[in-house]
Amino acid sequence: MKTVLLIDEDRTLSGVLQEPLTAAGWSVIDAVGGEAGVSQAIQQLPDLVICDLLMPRFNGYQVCRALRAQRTLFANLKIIVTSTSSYSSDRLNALDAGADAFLVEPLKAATVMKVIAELALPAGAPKEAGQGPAANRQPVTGVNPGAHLIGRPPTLKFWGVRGSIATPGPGTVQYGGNTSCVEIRADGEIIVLDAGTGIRQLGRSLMAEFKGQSINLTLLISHTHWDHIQGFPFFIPAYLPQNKIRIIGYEGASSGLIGTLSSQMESPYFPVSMQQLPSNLQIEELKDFLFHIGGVTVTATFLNHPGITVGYRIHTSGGSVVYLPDNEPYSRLHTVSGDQSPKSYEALSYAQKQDAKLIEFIQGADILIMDSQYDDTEYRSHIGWGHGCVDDVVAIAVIAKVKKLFLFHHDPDHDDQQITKMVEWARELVMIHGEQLEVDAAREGVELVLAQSIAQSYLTQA
Amino acid sequence: MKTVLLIDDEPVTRATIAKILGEAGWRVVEAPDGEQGIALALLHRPDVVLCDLLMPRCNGFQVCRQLREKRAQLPNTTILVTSSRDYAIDRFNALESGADDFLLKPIRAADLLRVLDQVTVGAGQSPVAAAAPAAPKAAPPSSEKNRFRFWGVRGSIPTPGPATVFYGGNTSCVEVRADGEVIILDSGSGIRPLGLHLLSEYRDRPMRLTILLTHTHWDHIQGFPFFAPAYNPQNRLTVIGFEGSRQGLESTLTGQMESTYFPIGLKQMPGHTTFEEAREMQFEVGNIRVTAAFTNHPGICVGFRLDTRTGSLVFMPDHEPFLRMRLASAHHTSGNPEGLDFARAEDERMAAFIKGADILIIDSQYDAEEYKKHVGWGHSCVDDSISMALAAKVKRLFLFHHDPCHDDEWVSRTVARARESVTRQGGNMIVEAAREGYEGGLTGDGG
Repeated sequence: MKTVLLIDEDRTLSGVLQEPLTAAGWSVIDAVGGEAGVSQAIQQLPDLVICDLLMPRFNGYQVCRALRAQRTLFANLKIIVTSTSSYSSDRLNALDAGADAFLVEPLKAATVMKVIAELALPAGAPKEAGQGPAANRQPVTGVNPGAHLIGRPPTLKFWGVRGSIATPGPGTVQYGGNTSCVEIRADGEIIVLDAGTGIRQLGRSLMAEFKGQSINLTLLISHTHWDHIQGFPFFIPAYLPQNKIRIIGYEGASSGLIGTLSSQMESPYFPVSMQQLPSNLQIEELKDFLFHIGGVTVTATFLNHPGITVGYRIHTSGGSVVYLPDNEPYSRLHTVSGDQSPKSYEALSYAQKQDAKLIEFIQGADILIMDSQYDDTEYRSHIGWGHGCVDDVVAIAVIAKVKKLFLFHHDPDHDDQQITKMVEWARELVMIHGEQLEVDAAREGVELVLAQSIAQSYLTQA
Repeated sequence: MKTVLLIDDEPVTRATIAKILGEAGWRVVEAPDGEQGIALALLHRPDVVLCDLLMPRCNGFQVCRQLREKRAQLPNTTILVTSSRDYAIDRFNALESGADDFLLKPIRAADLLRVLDQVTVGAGQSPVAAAAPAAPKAAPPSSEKNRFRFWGVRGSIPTPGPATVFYGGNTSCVEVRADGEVIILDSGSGIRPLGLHLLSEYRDRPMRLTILLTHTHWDHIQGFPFFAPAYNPQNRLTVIGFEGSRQGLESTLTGQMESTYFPIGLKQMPGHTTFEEAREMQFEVGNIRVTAAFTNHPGICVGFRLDTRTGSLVFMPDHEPFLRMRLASAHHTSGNPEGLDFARAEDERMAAFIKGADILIIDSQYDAEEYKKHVGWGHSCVDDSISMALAAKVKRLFLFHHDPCHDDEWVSRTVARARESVTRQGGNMIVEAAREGYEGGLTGDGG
C-alpha cells in the first residue's frame, strides 16, 4: 500500500486530502512543521510527500532540499509543494529545490488526485524544471532597425557617472547620482558602456525613441562590480522580444560572465530570472583585446582594480573615446606607500611600465572618461582601493595628449560643490603646466557630438 | 565607596589618573604590572579595573582573559582597557578578551569620570564575549522619546535626480529608536547615509544595532556593504531575517559581497555582525516585541510589527493583497469560490496582523490603473492600502515603496487624493507619503 506524508503547520492538508487519499487507497500520515516532516519521512519512507511552502521554522524549499539530499533513501519519492502564492518564481524555485509539482492553494481534492496520477510517470520521463520561455523569442526582423542612426555624426551621452552606489538627494542633482552608464552612437551602432543604474533611464529613452521597433544594441561591461551591472534587470528593452542585445565582457576571476549576470537575477535577490527575459540576448566572453561592433573597432586593456576589469577604446569615424571607469594608476600605488627599499624600486619600475602601457592605450584619444574618484588628500587614505585621484588622471591625460578629459566615477560622498572644486583644480593643474587639455566632470544628461578636431558639447535635459 | 584598580606600568600616568579619580571620590588601588594587578584584583574585588594594554610581561589582553576566567570571584567588575594606539584590531581583541570597553589615551578627566559613572555597581554585567547575548546597553545619546525616521522610501532601484529630491530616491530603510534599542528595518541604499549619521552621533562609543530584513531582494539589502558601522569592530550588529528560498540569510548576504561583485567580502567586514535566521514568528529585541507575518510577494518575504512601550509600528514594504490579486489575475483558478474564500482568509490574517497599529508603513507602489498592468508583481495599489488600513483602524498610514518612475509631483498628488478618499470614507486616519528625512514619534498621535 502506498504511503503519503502530509506536511504543514496546521493540518489543513489533512483536512482537505485525508478522505480522498484514503478513498483512493493511500495510507496517510502527517507531520506538523518541516523538521518533523523530514524526520517522519526518513522513518516512514513514504512514496509521496505533499508539503506546504511557507512554514516559519523550516520551509517547503528546505524540506525538498533535505529530502533530495538523501538520494538513495528517496530515489523514487515524489514531492508536491503547495503554496498560497502563485508567483512563477516560487514555482521555479520549488522545482529547482526538487519538487515534482507545485500547486496553488486552496487545494481541490480532484486537482490533487489528478496531479498525483500524472506523477506516476514511467522512469526516464523528463522532469520539467525551470525552463525559460525560449519559444517566445522572436527572430530579429529583416529591416535594419538602426537605419535612422546612419548618417548622423557619432554622439556620446552620459546616463550615470557616480561610483560605487547610487546617490539620490538634492546634493547630487547637478552631476547626477546614477551609477556608471555611457551611451555611444556611432556609424549605425548603439554601444552602451556598463549597466549601472543609469541604464534604467537610457532604457526608457530608447523605448520612447524606437516606439516598438526593434532595438539592436551592444553592451560592453568593464567589470562585474555592482555599480556596473545593477541596472540591467531594470533595462526595459531586455524585456521585449523584438530587441536584440549583445553583451560583451571578459571572464571574471571566479565565474563566467553569463553566470555572473544571471546570478544577479536569481531568487532570492530578484523576482525575474535572466532566462525569463524575452529579448534576444547574446552574452559573449571575449578573449581578444580587439574586436568589432559593426563597422566600429573596439580595443580593450586590463585596468588596475580588484577583480578582472577592462577599459575600452571605441574608434568611431568622429574620433575615439576611451572609457576607464575604475582604475588606480600603478606607479602612484607604489610611490605613495613610501617604501624606499631596492625591492620597491623594482616594483616601481614595473609599475611605471604598466602605466606606460596604459598611456599608450589612451594615446591621442579625443575623449578620455576616467576614474578620478579622489582628490590627492583623500587618495592617501584610500591607497589600494582601486580608484584614481584627479591629479594623476590629469597627468596621464596630458602625457597621452588627450583632447578632452571627463572626470568620472564620482565618489558617493562628494556633493556637487566638491565635484565642481575638483574640476576647477584639474583645470588649474593644466594651466600651471601650460597644456591644452580640456577638462570637465562627467554629468548625467550631457550629450556631445564627436567631431574629429574638437568635441563640441551641448546640454540636453536628461 | 567605589573602588578602582589601576594597572599601568607608567608611574606618571598612574599618578595622574589616581589623582583624578581620588578627587572624584573613588578609592584607588594601583598596580605597576599585570601580574600584580591580577593579584590585587582578587584581593580587593574592585568595581572597575582600568588596565593599560601595552605592558611588558603581562599585557592588557592577558589581564582581561585571566580576570574573566576568575569571573566567579569578580562577578561585578567592569574592565576597561586603555591604550595610546587606536588600531581597530586592538579594540576588537580587547573586547574579545573580555574587556567591557576600550579607552584611548590620553584620557580626558571628564571622559574617564563619565565612563566610570556609567558603570553600575553590583549590576552583575556579563562578560562581553564573541557572541554576547546580553551586552551592556549603549544608551542613545539623544532624547529617550520613541521615534522612527525614514532613510530610504523608494522601491526597486535607487532613483537619483532632481525629480525625486523631495520624497527621496534611496531604497528601503527605516530607523526605529525605542525602549533603548536601535532597530533598522531593511538595508536598502538608504542605510548608507544612516550609517554616516550614526558615526557622527556615536563618535567613539560602541553601537548596538539590530537590523531586521523583510526579504533579500536587492532593494532591501544593497546598502549593507556600504554601512559604515559594520566596518568598526567595536560595533555589534545583529541581522535578523527568515531564510530565503535558496540559501541561508548569511550566505545570501555573503553572495552579495563576493569578489566578482564587490571588493570586500562579508567576512572581511571588521564589525561584529551576527546573522540570525528567525525560527519563530514572534521574538524580542530588548523589551520590544517583534511579530513577523509572511506577505504576498515572490520569494520569502515578511512584514514586521514592533510593539513598543509607547506605540506599535508595522513595516510591510512589499505586499500584494491576496484577494485583489486573485480577482485581477488571469490565472484560471482565480475565479472559483474556494480560491476567493482562501484569499479572503489570507487578507484577514494580514488585517489581524496590522490591527490597531499606531503606524503602518506599507507598499503602495501603484495607483489603481497602474496596478491592472502589474498584477502578480507583488506590490499593492494605494487604494487597497488605504482600505486595509482603515478597516484595521490604523492611526497613521505612510505610503511606501514609491515606484522608481513616480516623481515628487506624482507622489504629492497621490497623497492628496488618498486623504480625500479617507475623508470621504469617514475615517480620521492620518495619511502621509513616506519621505526621506522625516522623523516621527512612535505613538498614535505623532507626539
